[in-house]
Amino acid sequence: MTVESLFAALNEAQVRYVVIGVAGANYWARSGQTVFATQDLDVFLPPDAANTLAAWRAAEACGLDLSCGDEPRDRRRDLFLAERIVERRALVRAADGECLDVDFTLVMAGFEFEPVFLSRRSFHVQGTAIPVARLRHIVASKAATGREKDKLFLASHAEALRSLIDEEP
Amino acid sequence: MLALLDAYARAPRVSNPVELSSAYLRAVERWEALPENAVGSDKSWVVRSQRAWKEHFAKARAGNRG
Repeated sequence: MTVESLFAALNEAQVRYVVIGVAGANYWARSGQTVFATQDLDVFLPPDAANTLAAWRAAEACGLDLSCGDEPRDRRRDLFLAERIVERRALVRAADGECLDVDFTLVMAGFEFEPVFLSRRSFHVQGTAIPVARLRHIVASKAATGREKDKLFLASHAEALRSLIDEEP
Repeated sequence: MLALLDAYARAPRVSNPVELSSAYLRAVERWEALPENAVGSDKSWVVRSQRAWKEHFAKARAGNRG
């Protein structure tokens, strides 16, 4: 299972989403030296149950297993459950049990979905379009959350951008 | 299931925001505007890089278990 095949399935199902988090920041990298190690891929969804359900179904069609907390993986996915998940802004994880862990999140600290989605940038991976949040939104969200791992990322990221900061007139 | 979701929704969200410097934010804007980050840029190499990293660590974890 490749990440680009998941994105292709989401695009085919016309799911509205945008990639955020460290994985999103990595798409803005210029070279391998500015790519950060991360285990997770965060996919930000709007608070829309039908869209959420479409995202789950696309992931399952790609062979990913869905889970939410300790919930059994064989639970039926339907609009009722999607509505409850959206109401509670709960996170649903899709994983292939090997190297791909995708978090479908309805929350991006400091931001609502629409402004992030409207200013997204589309990049390409193996010919598949991938909507990625603006880097300024990703770092601002990290700053708003302020967990230790976010602070570490921000410090490392500022170092990666050091040449641009130093070049400033 | 709903009880689990309710517990999740009630859980406090720990937040300790940090302030980003204006120089860093200007650098981020310039970074976004680089030719490598234009709309439609091919980023296949990013995915290859992340995949290689994950496979490396998956093997390392498997080695530690074995």
